[in-house]
Amino acid sequence: MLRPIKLALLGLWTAALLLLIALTSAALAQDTVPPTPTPAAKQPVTADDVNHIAKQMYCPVCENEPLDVCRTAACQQWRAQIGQMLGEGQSEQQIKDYFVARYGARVLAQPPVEGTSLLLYVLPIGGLIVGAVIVVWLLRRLRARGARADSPQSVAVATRADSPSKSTGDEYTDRVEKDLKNW
Amino acid sequence: MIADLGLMVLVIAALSAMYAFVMAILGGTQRRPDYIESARRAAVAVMPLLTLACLVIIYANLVGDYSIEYTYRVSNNTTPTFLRITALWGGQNGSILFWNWLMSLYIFFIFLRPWKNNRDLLPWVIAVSIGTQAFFILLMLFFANPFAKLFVDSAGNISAAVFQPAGLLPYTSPDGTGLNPLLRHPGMIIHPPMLYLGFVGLTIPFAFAIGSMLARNKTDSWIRASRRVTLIAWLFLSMGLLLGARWAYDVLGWGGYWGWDPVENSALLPWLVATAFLHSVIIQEKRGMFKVWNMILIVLSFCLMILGTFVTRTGVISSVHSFARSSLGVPFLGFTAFVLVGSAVLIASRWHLLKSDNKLDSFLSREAMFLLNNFVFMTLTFTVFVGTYYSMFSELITGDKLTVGPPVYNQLIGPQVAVLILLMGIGPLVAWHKSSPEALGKMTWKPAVFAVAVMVLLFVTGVNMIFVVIGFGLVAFTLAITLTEYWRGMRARHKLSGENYFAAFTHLISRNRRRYGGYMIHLGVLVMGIGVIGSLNYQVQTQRSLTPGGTMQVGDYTITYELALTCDPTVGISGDCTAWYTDRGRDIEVIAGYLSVARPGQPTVRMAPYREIFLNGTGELTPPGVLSSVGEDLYLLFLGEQSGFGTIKAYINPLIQFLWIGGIILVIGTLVAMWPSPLERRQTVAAPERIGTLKAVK
Repeated sequence: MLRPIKLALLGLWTAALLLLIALTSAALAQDTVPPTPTPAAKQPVTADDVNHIAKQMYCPVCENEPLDVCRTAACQQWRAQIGQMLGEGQSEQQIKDYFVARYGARVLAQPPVEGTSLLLYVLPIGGLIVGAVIVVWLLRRLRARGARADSPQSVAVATRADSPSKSTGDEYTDRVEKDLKNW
Repeated sequence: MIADLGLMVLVIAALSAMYAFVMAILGGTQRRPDYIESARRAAVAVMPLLTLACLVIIYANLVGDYSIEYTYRVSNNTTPTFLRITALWGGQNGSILFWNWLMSLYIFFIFLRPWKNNRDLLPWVIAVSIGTQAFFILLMLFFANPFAKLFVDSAGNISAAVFQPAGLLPYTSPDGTGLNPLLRHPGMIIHPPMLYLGFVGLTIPFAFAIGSMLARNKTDSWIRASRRVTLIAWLFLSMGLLLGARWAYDVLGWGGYWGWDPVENSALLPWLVATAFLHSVIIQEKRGMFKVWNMILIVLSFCLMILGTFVTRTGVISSVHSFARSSLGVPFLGFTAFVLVGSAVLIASRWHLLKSDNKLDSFLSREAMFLLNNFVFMTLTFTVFVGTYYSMFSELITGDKLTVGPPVYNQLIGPQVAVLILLMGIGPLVAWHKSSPEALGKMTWKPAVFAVAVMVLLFVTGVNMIFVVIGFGLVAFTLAITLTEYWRGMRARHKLSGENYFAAFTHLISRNRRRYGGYMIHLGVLVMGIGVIGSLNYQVQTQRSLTPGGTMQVGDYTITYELALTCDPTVGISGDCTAWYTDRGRDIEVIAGYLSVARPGQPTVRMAPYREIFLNGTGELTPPGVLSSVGEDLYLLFLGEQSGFGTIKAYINPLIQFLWIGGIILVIGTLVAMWPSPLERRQTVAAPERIGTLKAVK
């Protein structure tokens, strides 16, 4: 009798997990897409244009502080350089590539999804999948053990929980009372 | 000379702790109550001793005894009295002493009175907790001694040592270097004690868990006995994190409150696991399931706490090389490894005691929901762990250092938190044992309709970021369910007993503090969620350099730059500058930017964000001026003045007030959940009659 419901729930959970994974990958994909408009060469470069790029970078002098915030002389120099490159009409990507080529991938707030840093994305998602497998396995095992040891008592509990109550109001009242007793 | 007193006290404290540890183990294995009693008394004695040691440091700071290295580092002649006291936890060695003192405080209150219940656990709980304490006191004595003194050699080089090295003479510096200016803000004064109280508090449930296994106790008494302490630790940990975020927002001046920086993360990690633990122990208490899992969780949160202490106290995370350089590294990691391996062996050898009493009746049950909740908390922990330690590992393996910045975390963590919020809504509606999809559907369709309405409304009003719409929709869904839970309980009481709604509400909570306090914590998290989604996705920032009288526009605000005021304390403090030097030391140069902010229909406000330059060369800081309203914060920074131009950076942080309001709700909810209720004891006896009378009234 329980089988279809059980299957449906298993399906529901799988769906939820797939959704989780899909959302994660969508989020990953989404953030790499939006290209920022390169300011036209004639417009003066504003501090905001510089900060927009600097926000996504870290200079090695300031541990854990984005480039747009860090106030050391080295970082100010980097910002000035970004401003200059923007003025020359270089794109955001070109500027980032320039800094990566000179100082390594550590200058980026978001490491590229490639090479060694791939692991950074693979590990959590892998952990998620492994964890999900364990949870499903654990649930099935716990459930299977329960099914084998179906004592009269547990059947009684199940039927009591199954039996529909007369009205919604009463059902809730019962639940509150039961909880009051149990908590 | 006072340093020698402190050192002596520390040594006695260490001996007392080690004695308690040995006697507790002997008492436990040989079943000698007199040994156990002796161990208990020795454990309790550690607190007064460490208190004395703390007082010695505070005294040295107050009188400016610069023969002590620690005082020399965290204080100087212009440090105000108040900061000289708080400087106790302003540097590495002092903060480890303070950390130890807080741990001894927990131990003191847990063992102060002889136990009436759980006497079989007592020796082992003493052994584990005081063993941890002894380790950290010894660590402090040998590797981070706050009572080290200054010495000078014939060439005039100054060094620090606990005992006078051969050929060196004692040295007393005329002045100290002063407290790190970052730590002179009220937020930083209160944030570390809260965080440490949370950290060290986790030792107690850990000691109960391990003690229960060592005593071969089959029951859940360790959970019940340590429940309140666990909640207290969790509360302090939460407050520590919230106050840290607030401090970052108010002082650091980068427009945000959480930068996913390794130090923040290492404090978040034990919180995540402890939160999972708080949820999953409920299953063990109610159904006797997941016993092994709860042991694993408490061990994990303890280990992450130790790791977090290490990381926050020594700042080693930035590089593998500093990890190796720190003298604390090896003992800390050794201790963590010992705890991990030891606990694993213990859990394996006590497996038969940790058998589940019950089975899972259904996949759609409260038990299963809790399991799912734990699953998401663990993936969150894993994600943050990988992000935090990844750059270190990558440097170790490939020699390539990488930065893991906020964008990475936001992408990986956002979806997981979304699932968690969904579970927060559905979980509490699912009955124990088993629930039917129909019943669940009946209880969730109205909130779901509400959530969809909210999403449509947001979309229509121009919110076009899909993740923001989903996020707010989930928050609305769970908010509706949680509020309905209160409402239903109130209505049921109102109907049954004829109480008015207010009385029904207060009685509902006082009779079920744990449950409705828990819901209140959920509400707090949801309200915080609104703030996080808003400020994360809709922050506006702009930067301009203006001449006096110049204006800039951000959002509805018109900001006029009036003038800059430069105060150099080395020249002398007078005039308008005096107001800037009341509560800080005089080793900071202040450049204040006076601004006036106008908004349509509102009076003009004057604000003065400023820039602090630390004269000892350790850096600078730009504390913001903040104009708060319910909808948004205007957050202004003054970056400095150059050739007549003042540089102003303005942020608009939408909905950020919800973050703080939610934080306050969370704290209140935790207090409600853990407050000892007089009913709790009576209820076990009186409950059947009360339910009976309620029925009769009906």
